[in-house]
This record gives sequence, structure tokens and C-alpha cells, in this order.
Amino acid sequence: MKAISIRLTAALIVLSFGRAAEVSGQETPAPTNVFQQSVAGLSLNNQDIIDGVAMLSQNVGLAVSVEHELGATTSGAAPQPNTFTATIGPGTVSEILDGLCALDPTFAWQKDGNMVNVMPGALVSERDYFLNRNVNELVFRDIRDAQEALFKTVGGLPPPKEQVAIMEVGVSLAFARPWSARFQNISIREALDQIARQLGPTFGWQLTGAKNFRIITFHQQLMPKPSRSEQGPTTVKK
Amino acid sequence: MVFPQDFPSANFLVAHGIRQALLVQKDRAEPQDDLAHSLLRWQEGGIKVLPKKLDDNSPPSEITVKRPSKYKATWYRALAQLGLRRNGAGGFGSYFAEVSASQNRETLGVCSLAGDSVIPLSIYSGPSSYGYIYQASYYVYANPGGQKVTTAQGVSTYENVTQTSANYTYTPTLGQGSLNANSQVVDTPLGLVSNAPLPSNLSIVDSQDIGVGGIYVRNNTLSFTATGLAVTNNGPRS
Repeated sequence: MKAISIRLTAALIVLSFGRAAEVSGQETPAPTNVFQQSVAGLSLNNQDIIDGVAMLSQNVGLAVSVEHELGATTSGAAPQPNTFTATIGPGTVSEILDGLCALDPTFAWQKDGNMVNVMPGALVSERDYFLNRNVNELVFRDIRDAQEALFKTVGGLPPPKEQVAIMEVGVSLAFARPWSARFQNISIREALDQIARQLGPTFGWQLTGAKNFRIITFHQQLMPKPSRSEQGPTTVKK
Repeated sequence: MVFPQDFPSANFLVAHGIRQALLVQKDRAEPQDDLAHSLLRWQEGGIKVLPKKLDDNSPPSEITVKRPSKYKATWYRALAQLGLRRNGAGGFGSYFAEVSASQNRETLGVCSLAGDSVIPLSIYSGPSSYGYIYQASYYVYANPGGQKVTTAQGVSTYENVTQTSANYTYTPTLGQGSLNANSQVVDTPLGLVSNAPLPSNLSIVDSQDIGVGGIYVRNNTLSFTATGLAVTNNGPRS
């Protein structure tokens, strides 16, 4: 194939393989009143409500953190969230989140600043649940990244010692600058929210793994899983 | 300036299974007038035309090429016949064949990632941390042509990570970055670090899509075990 010289600031490429990337919108900081922002309805097509929260996040720039239900061990299958075919909304962000959690009462949501925490409802008031446990005083001094901050936080818990791992993939966990801060009577969940916020305005985290090996992952943005099939048990309009 | 005679016909492309053309430009989406002569012919012949600005992370979408002035005018074709356009190589060909140290960012389009380097950065064996952190890096190669791209620093990249294993739950995530000073995709960190030993039977497998300039490029399988990380190149995903 011969070369050509083109003065255009353009390159023309013939696509014969592959496909265009599916990339969501630009990163935008969430406004402070994001939970009162009105949004169009969202539709689940045999998807779970975390997918719905991810869609909502994409629409309004909401930071999202998710605590998945954990299986007993990493060698067994993890619990699979319920899937739905449903339409929620339109309404405010809060109303959409209420609608999603009404659809699947397994989950509940809380807000922390501009972040929404989605968690198993049964664990919200479980005092011994790892993420509900409090650190009396947490002092960060020139912390460089999320891993260091996470281990410092969990290391500050009173006995018993809690296991936690951090899986790092897809995004840098280094802070823009060394971070110094002091928190009192802060839960592990709240500390994780702070760490995510330190990474960036749209960052959040997920708790996954299993009860015998917990894993935290930080993310820049959640993406909904593709709809899995056409069948669905429920249609809900709020 | 380019002329329709510089490019293969729509019939030729269709006969070879090519149905889409991606136009990548630095500062604009719409094709310039001279290129529009060729693209409109392709579009009329059944080839979809998708423009893409390099600094836009959104996926490309099909456009209708506007009819340029003097479209299919005899004298316009005559210019080409007079040889005003063709260079010594002549004919249509691969713009990528001219990729060199002086290339511009717009020479990136359909490309591939190769020259993989996956190296351990940190190995933790206790007593406070266990696990590992790797760095994966890839060079960008123009396609067709196969030249290593060397001057695309700052071009946006993205990673979409999805769950493959059944033993943990994970909502897909999106992370964004850019090519480094060596025009490499550098994926740091990739790792799993725990404050307790990793289970010996640990096996977590993720699927990782990597894109450059908003264009999907390749899929990796990431396999996290108790002893390390393996990155398997699956090439472009069908």
C-alpha cells in the first residue's frame, strides 16, 4: 500500500476490526444540592439496582460507593444481586434512590456530602459490621495514596483486628499532594468516603471479596453492567 | 489537498467487508471540504462515517457528510488527472505509513497496544502488608502500518474494568488517564495488597478494556492470585 501526503489535520482510518469505545461523559464535579436535582427516569433491563445507581451517577455526576453482599469465602460463589426490569422516576436524585431501594429492599442508601453509599440494608445498624466500626481518632500526616490511608484507618480500630485488602486496577490511587487531616469518632465507611474524595470529586469505592477476605477497590466512575436479557419479573413506575 | 481518486472506492471497501470509516482530527469533527468529496462518495456507497476529535472521550457517532461545493464536478476530478495532487508514491494508501518522530497526535486512530511490559513494583510479605503491585505498560502502534507512535503524549486513555470471576461481585468501573511522555499507556498500579496474608486459593479474574483517544483498542484478562498478577492480551474484542 502506497503512502500519501495529506496536508489536512486529519487522519482517515478505515475500520475493519474492533468497535468504537463506549465511554461515558466527562467528569464533572457534583453540585452541592445534587440529591435535590431533578432527573429523568431510568430504566433497568434485567439489571440490578447498583446498575441503576451507576446510571444515575453518570447522569448527575454523583459519587457512588457500594458495599456488595459478601459470600462466606473467596472459593465459593458470591451472592448475586437481584435483577429487575423496571422504570424508576422521573424525580429528584433522592427519589430515584428511594425508588431503587424500594425495588430491591436488600439495599439501603445513605448520603455523605455529595457521595451516596449503597449498602446491604440488614447491615446498616449492625454495630460489629466492619464498615460501621469507629476509629476514635484518625490522624493522617502526609499520606501519599489511598492504600496508605486505608491501612492507617483500619489499623486505628480497637481490637479485634480487621482484615482488609485493596485491589488496585484501572486508576491511580496516588493523591495529588500529600494529605494531612484529623478525624474523630469516624466510621470506616466515612473514612473511605473521605479517602475517595481526596482522590477526586467523582471517586468512590466498592467493598467486595468475601467475608474471609474483604477487598476495597476505588474507582473514578461506576459503569452499569449491560442488560442481560429481555426477561424481567417486575415493572415499576414511580 | 486530497481527491477521491486517492482513496479506494466504496464498492471496493464494501467488497472487503469494510463498512465504517473513522475520521480522527485534532480540532474539529466535521471533515474539511476536500476530504468531504471522498467521504460523501463512501457514504453514498454504504460506508458509515464517524468523526472523532482527539480530545473528546465520547464515542464517535455517525454523521451525514455535507455536500461539498463542486461535488462531482468535472473540473474537480480533472485537477487530480492533471497530477496536482499525487506525490511520488501516488495513489491512496496508509497515512500511518508516514508516522515519524515529527508526527502529530492526529495520526493516532485505529491503533494497537504491544510491547507489553508487566513488572512487579512492590512485593509485600508481611508483617503489616501482604501482596503485590505491578506496573503494566504498552506502546501504541499505528494500524495499519505498524509504526510505533512516539509523539502522542497527553492523548487521553481509558480503562473499563469488569468482573469475570464468580467469587466476588464488582460493578464495572471507568478510569481515565493519558499517554505518558514516551507515548505509552502506563497502567499503575495493578495489584492486591492486604493487611493479612492472601488466601492460598485466591483467584480473582477481571476483564480490562483499554482505549486510546476515546477509541477502544484492546482487552486484557487480569488474573489475581495469592502469588501474583498475570495479564493476558486478548487483542481487540469482537
